[in-house]
Amino acid sequence: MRRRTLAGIAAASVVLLAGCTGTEGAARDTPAADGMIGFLDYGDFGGGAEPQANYNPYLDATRLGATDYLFERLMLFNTYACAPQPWLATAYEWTDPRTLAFTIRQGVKWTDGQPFTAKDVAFSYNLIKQHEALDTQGLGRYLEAVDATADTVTMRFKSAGASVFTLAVNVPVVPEHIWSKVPDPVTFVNADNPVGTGPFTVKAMNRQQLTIARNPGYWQADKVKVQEIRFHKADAQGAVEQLKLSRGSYDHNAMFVPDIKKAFVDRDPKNNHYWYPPGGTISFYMNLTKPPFDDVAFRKALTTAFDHRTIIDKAQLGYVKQASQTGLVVPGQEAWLPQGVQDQGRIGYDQSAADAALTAAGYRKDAEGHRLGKDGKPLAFTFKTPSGWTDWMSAAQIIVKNLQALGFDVDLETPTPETYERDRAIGSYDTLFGVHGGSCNMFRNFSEPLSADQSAPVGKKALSNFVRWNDEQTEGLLEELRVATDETAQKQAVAGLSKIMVDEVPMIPIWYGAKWFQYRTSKAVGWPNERDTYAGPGDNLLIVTHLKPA
Amino acid sequence: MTAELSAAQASGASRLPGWFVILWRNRKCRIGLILLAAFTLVAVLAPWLSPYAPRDDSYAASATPSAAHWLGTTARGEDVFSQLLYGARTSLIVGLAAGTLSTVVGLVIGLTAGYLRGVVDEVLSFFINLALVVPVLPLMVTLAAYSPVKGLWLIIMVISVTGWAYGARIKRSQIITLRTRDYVTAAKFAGDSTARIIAREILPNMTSLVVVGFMGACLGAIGGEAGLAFLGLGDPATTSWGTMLNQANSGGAMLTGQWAWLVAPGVAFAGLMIALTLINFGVDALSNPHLRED
Amino acid sequence: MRYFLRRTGFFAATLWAAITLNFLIPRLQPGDPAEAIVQRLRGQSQAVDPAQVAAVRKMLGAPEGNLLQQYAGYLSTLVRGEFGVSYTYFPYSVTHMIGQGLLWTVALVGVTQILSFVIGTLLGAWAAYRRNTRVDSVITLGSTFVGTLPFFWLALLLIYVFAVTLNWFPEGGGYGGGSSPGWTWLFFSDAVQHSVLPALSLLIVGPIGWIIGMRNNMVQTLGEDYARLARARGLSRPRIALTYGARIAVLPNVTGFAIALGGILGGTVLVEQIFNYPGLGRMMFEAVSNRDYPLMQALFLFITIGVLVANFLADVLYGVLDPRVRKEVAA
Repeated sequence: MRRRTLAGIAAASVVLLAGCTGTEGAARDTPAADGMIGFLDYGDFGGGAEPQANYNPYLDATRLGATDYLFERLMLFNTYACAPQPWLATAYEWTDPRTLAFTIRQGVKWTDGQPFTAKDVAFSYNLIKQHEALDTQGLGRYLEAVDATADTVTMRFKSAGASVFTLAVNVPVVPEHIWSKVPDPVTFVNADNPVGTGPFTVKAMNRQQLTIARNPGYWQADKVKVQEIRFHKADAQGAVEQLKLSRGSYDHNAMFVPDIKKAFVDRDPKNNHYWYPPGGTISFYMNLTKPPFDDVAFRKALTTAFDHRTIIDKAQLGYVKQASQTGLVVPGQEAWLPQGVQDQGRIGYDQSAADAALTAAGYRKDAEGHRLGKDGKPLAFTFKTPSGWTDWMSAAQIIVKNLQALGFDVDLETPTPETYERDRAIGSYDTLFGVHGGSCNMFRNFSEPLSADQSAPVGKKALSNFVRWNDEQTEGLLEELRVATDETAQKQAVAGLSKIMVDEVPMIPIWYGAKWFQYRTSKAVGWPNERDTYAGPGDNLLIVTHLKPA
Repeated sequence: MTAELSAAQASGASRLPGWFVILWRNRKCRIGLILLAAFTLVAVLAPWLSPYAPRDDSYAASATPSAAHWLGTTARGEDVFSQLLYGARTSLIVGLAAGTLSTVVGLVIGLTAGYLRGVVDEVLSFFINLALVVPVLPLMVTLAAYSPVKGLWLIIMVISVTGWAYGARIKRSQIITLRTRDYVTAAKFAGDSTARIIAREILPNMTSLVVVGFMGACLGAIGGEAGLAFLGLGDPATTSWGTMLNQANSGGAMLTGQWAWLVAPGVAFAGLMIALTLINFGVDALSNPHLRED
Repeated sequence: MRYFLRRTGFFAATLWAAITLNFLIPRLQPGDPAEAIVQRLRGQSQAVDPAQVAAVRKMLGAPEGNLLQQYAGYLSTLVRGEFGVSYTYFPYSVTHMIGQGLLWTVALVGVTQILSFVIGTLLGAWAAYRRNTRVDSVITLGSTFVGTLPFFWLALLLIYVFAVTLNWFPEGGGYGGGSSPGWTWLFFSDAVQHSVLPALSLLIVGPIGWIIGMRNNMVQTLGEDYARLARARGLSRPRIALTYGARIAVLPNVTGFAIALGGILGGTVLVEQIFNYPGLGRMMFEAVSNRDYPLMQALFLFITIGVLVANFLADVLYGVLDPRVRKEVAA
């Protein structure tokens, strides 16, 4: 199960080996001009096992991966360090807390030769505002109006818009002269020569392979050194994919590999590399509506109860890093850390400390070693983890073992993923894993798991505050963060929220989910990695404008 | 099938309860019985025979066979040989449980339909025929994928739900011919109750059919479990040969050249299937003179 | 006449049951397809964005009205041959998607089924003709043992040996990434190259049922009175075997073959899944695991109708060929 979700969707077939049938091979290579990379082989391109042409950039769930290279946005985020970069907009300014003005880049052309203007931008934003199905970020509910004047686009928000800045720059821009004639943009697949501003155009596509070719008229064509990218459909089980990766058939892929060092790096240590930066935070969630989890002293005592090292090495194969109790993803977001936090907020495993803290908080052990509640009865509760998510299952077993060592009577339950998600949403659980944070939008990182308006009474579906944290101070800080347009004010609010995470422990972060990223340097260099963090694994346009011939 | 039926009818009236002795006399069947006994022994003694706990992942991952790990280790660092031994348990439990369950369901429905006839038969026959034409594998996949709980018993239920109909149909036809026999009519005139007639007069004449059906159901169930587990629809926490193959495939056994991890579960599976098939030869021969060995 | 009426009635009733089951299965499931889609998209270790779920839910559209109204709506769309839009391939329709996979499955499994039938029947007849000789025991025992091997394991070994180790054939897929699908020789040879291993795996296990069935039937017919009479009349052995044995013994196999052809679509999940073959079996599995209910429903219906029609035809054929059956069933 996990392999599928991570390697990017249950997927399809495998491509033949070069030379097997004579239909693929050197003969088809685009000749590399001087200082250029002829072509690169990438991994899966989405769209299920039988991908069908779909280059509608707003249909997140079913569009093909190449869409990222066809359409561009106003600004791009380096999702690792969370720094915005000018792209189709050259600058932005908050004229007041509800009004954001972008200066649009001049000299950009659509791939059909028409000039790109501010009106195209306004059209695209109004398109997603009109069609809820296309608004995959939920930006529409904050936007009041978007207008274009000469080279400026002005966005007017319904209330202070600072907290949705990351969403506001992240809408793909499509050409008005084509999309305004589309009868229903929700079912528009844009299959015939999709027109965008991006560095690539679609060259060929079948169910096994998608080829995109360099756009010579691109506005920063001098930075694009790759003539062609070939995406290859991944197989469903992933076994063949791993084999091909280890053989060096991919210049870049983003898939789960059981033993990456042995299977990939060791095969060609000079060229084969990987970088697995942290994504979202996976935390130990407690149902805060139930005792003893409603007791802050109890929760605080558990922060030293879990053996991160074993979870990381055994359950997560050493691919992940321990998470910070602050709720921030460190070291990428270390600039946001409040003053005086030890070891970036990572709390070490110390079972005897947890034992002592529990006893001090009034949760004694009886003669047989059972941990007792404040009412003197043995504490018994369950931990749920979805069946089939094997790595979570192993991690859960370690968590349960750690808790049992403290004298708790803990049962591990393994419902199906769907039942698990429902139980978590309606609050029908004692303890389980939850995922939160990890995006570049600090407001969302904290409001989704902690804000009262994301919660619901037990029995009703909560949107994302599954622990049902309800705290006045948190609400105040979230409101400050929501409206803060300058960085100092934002950092102050985030510091306050991080402090609540550390002091009140609404949840206990355990590890950061890894983002898979493998690359080869035999043909191209300049890939992002732990020493050169100019981009995160999914920041395709940033990466492709940095690649240089080896 | 027709041959089987007529033969079962022919031999039905006169067979002795000591059918096991007859089975034992058949050479193929004897080998099968010994093989099956060996598998059963391994399954029962798995905790004592296996060198490690099957889910203990504290060893070097993806190791090739060595003195410490005869068949190597999995991608998670579990001992393949220990898993293989425990896998025998799962297969036998599934075979026994699902085989029994679907045989009992088939027997009850087949008997009721065949003996009572009339409207009851019409309704039950409809369900039997329905269950026969519903595509089994897609149905199994759907049931296993969408059930709210996962686990071995779910797999057993799914296999039983999809596998009882064939036996029911055969048993129904058998009882239709049996119920008009003289001794049944005689018992009826003697005032025996329906239950008594079925239990005393009819069932004993169907032993061979039931045994054949049971063996077939066992074979199907063991294969079904392995297939579902291989597709990833089993319970990953259960150690079975199907989950082993699934994990060997997704865990990169081909990549790391761990042929033992890939080959061993298949060989074990085939061994058990061969044992059951050999026994089936004996049972077949027992009930079908055409197939009897010289 | 009554026999045919009964068969038609059964056909209709089963069809209705399958359609209704199809309607119910997705509605008995916990969980929301939109959430499942976003979760899959984001990966298990990333937080799910509620806004994205809302957008996807809007995109897919939700069924309206109570269960009965939904059922009525479902039936009326079925009658019109509309299966809706696939969730996995939105906005492509289910009908379009089935069209994408149908030919592949029919080509692979259809060809191997026919070959299996021919090979199996011939081998079975040969074994029966030479019964109780070495040939007979090699064929029957051999096929029985091969039949006990798990199919998916054989397939894995084929991939391991012929694709991974020897590199003779591709590991899977229907065709190569560099070829462009179409009715060209280049594409055809590429597709054939890709289908060798799946076809081989099917041909190893496929003939077994036919071998055993044919052998047992023929051993029996050769033991019947008319065959003995022919022998007494001094006809040659091959001739008896052919005219009195094989010709009659093959009849049950032929009807069995009709049923097997109907079951093509349902039986291909494993082989297509292992070899990543772009047919309906893999599509079915993908639809089930992605909670793509419209696609799953249509495929399930398709598969069931295939089996039903084949069974119906086989029954009718049998009734026409053999009057005894009609009486037996009607009795």
